[in-house]
Amino acid sequence: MQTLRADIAIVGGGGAGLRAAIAAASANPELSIVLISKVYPMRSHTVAAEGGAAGVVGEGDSIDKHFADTVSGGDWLCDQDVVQFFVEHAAEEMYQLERWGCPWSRKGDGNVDVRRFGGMSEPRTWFAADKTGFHLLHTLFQTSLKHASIARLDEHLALELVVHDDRVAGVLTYNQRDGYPVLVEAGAVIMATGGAGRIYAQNTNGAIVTGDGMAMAYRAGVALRDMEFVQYHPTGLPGSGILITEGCRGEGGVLLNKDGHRYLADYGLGPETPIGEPKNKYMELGPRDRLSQAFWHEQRKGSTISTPRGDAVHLDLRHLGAAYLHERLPLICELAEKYLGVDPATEPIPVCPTAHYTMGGIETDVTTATGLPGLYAVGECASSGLHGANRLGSNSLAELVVLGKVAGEQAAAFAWSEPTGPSVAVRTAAQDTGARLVSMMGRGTEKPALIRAELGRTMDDGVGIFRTAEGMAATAAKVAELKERYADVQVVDTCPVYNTDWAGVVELGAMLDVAQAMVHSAIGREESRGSHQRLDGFTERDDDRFLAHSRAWFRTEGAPTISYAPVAITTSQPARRAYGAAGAAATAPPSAAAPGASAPEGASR
Amino acid sequence: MSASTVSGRAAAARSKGSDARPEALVVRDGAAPVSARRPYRAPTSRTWFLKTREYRAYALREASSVVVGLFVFDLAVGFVCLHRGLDAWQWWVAMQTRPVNLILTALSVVMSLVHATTWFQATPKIIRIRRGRRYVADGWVVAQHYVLLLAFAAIVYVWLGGL
Amino acid sequence: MSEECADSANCCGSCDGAGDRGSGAVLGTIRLQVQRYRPDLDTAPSVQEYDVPWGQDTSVLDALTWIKDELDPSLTFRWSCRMAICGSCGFMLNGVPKLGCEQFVRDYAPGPLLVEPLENFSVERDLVVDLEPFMSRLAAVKPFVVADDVPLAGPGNLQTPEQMLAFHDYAMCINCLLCYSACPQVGIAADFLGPAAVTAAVRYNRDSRDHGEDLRLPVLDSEAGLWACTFVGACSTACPKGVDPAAAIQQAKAAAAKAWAGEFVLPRHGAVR
Repeated sequence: MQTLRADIAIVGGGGAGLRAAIAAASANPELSIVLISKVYPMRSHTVAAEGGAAGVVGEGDSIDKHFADTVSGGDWLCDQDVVQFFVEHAAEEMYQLERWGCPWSRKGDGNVDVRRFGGMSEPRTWFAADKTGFHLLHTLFQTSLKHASIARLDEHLALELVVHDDRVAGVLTYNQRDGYPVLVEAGAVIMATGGAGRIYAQNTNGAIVTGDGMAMAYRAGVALRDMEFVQYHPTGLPGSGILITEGCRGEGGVLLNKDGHRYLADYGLGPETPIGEPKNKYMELGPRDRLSQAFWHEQRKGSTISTPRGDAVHLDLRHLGAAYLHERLPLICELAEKYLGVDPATEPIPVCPTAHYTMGGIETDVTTATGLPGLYAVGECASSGLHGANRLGSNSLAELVVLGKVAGEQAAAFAWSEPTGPSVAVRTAAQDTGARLVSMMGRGTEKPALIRAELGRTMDDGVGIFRTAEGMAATAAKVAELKERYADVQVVDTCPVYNTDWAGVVELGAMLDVAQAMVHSAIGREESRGSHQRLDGFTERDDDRFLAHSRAWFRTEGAPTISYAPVAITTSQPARRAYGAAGAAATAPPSAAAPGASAPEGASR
Repeated sequence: MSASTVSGRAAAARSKGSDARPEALVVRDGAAPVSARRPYRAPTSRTWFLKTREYRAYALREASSVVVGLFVFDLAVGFVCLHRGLDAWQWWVAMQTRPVNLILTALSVVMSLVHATTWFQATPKIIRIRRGRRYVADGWVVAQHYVLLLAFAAIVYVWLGGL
Repeated sequence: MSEECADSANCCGSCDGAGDRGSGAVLGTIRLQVQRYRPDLDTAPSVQEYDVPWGQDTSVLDALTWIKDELDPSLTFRWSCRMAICGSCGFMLNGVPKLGCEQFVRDYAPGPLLVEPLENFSVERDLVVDLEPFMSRLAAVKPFVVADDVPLAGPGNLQTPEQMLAFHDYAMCINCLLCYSACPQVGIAADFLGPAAVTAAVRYNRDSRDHGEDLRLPVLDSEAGLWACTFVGACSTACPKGVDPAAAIQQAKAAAAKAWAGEFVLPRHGAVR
């Protein structure tokens, strides 16, 4: 085992990790920063995000409106102090990215353009064609090359968080290129490892989105918060699950069922807006959870279109015209053509809801600090409290940079004021763990591909768009069974270099732990809120009992313990979450209510 | 290692400017295990230019320069002979009818065309003319070259008295 | 989900757990010939054959993951996004550099299909190649905005769509490195910067917000820089994203030549503007 010592270790080289690294390096150039990533940073899944990043810049837009949209979008499960901080700093971070070279799409006069997005009352989504995540990631990665104090450990798989004396002591990783474990001793560690969408069989995510960091923090005793909230993106390609951006709907795309009917009008998102004139928060610009749930109902009614790859509805972009499509949505045109043989200018694209984003994750406060001193978490792997029970599109990319900066600065301050020294105990513990994990190579009898497939199926079935106690209990039992089988999982490959069989099995272990936290958190929440919707009697929101964050605590044997923590509510009291005409009727004109005063019932600011 | 040593390294790294290697700041405690890497590099084949159609087309383009170059050398010799007087000139003219030279001349006609067309085809990559939010289509850039070529040829033809 | 699929004992493993929502009917079987190399056991690579079932939607990447899941878990290759944006899954397919996720088995049937690691790179293991030379070349061209510090608050730089046109295509590079495999000079001139690295430099040089052209010139204007390129053009043919690196390099050559000429009259590299 090799030992490296640094001031800050960042696990994950995506948008959040890179932004944190740059922030830490800028805050204190004397600190040594190690950026650990299991893939080269430009492969991180941030690269696949398409639609955009939100930041208030428009004339008619305001911080208050972005705040209100986010809190109601999250069905009032958002920590409002975090939301306030976020909306205040989002535009600033977008401008920072602009200065670093991000090619934001522009208006004719050279100013940045913004577009409409689901659940947002005003256009405030900054975009770079339909490849925002790609441009954001490459901008951040290339900017990080400016800083001499950021050292990278590329293609190092993080295995375990090392804890000593009730604080973080470092990260144990495995160097795939040279074929041996590497311990990075660091007093401050930032987890930025992304979500866990690959737990579901059909998902928009890339291979690497396996919840590694969530599992590491979880096993180290940190709570995973709000794990039951998994977002189904309404428009993924059937079969592969490849993402078709919400930006399509922002540009005016419409969703049609088997009968060519814009069915969303039947689900509280109407009345129907004219084609080519999208209206914020109406119809196709409603929030993602509502759209995915509408599909589910249509499917039950038999109104969805049957394709060789599964049931779907039609996303119709034909009215936008080929020229506009190729300018604003070029990637979508490419994807539809390549993977389905469909030209969006002449045919509608078949789409269906696909598991996409994990709102839940490592519990953090507004400073991105976790309950474990020295450990910070940011990005999709964290539950910062920003998204609540349902994330609005384009808030996630913005979160990466707004909170990424905070995490970097916080970790830098902590590393400077509370440095750690080398410790024999830490090294011995890491050595043992490394040896134990490496010894899995060449052993076992249970095929990991089978465990992975069965996990995906049971999660899709029991913890999908709509849930029942029965379904969830079956999934919980199945996950427990899979964990037992995992104890004897087979790793055929014994080569120490680029052993992806073994790496896949390590990731599978993370997925199983995270899945268990998800299903048990879901069982515990006896209400329907945001993207956690039940059909078994708990069909409404229950603010009395469940206006609370769920917390899952790891136990070495058996199911996690679930407890609850209050939601930070400052100015926006829980109200009815409504969109379309119902939403417009429910919105009272903005009042000058003092913070802490409760707004009238049914009104949202 | 003490914190002061680490920050000392940081200061040294910074003073070297952005060329400083980030690895200088990270402390390595103890020796690393032996690497299990054994990368394999297949040598580039000597006849790589025959492997794909694109490579063969490239090789032809480059070869055309050689042929055209030889022909230009032949003409240069002719100029020198012209300067030297009638005997030398007649010798050179007689040389042109030798089989080798006839072949070279015929080949040069073909290769000049190859050379011209391949380089004309390549010009849109170098010459980008912006019209508003688009670039002028490649076809127009290539066409311009042919137009210029024909115009130049016509001028020379007329100037030399329509031989 | 069909009955057979619901019973895990009958799982044929051909659809990654999605039941009959997967890739549809099997249309045939193709023989994949995959180059293998284990640094701990082998002295040189060899080819191993696998017979893989395929359907209408089966990509070459799907075929490789099927082999890994069903036949041979030791088969090693890089992949992630499955939608040709992360740049991980570059391979030589029948001798042509391609992204595995956007090539479909139906276009290679009846086969056989030869899958080899990207050419012009050292092979670390099976289909995984050494990308470190590229990473250091990318860093060498200073691929970031070099500008005066403008105060943070405010509208930032203005940049019209016309100004963006100058560099936008060059910013589309996903670093898949198919261009390095296609370029014979990368194979011959061992330290050539290569298409993607030069394109990254040109992307910043032509961005109206950047003023680092002089800083990048010494790296570009060298034998291992621009001038190793002989305009074969294969890089642009191989590029799956339409970046056109060949154009970037030739335009950079023109700019470098102009800079050289101007050197005798105008302020030089590093001189304060």
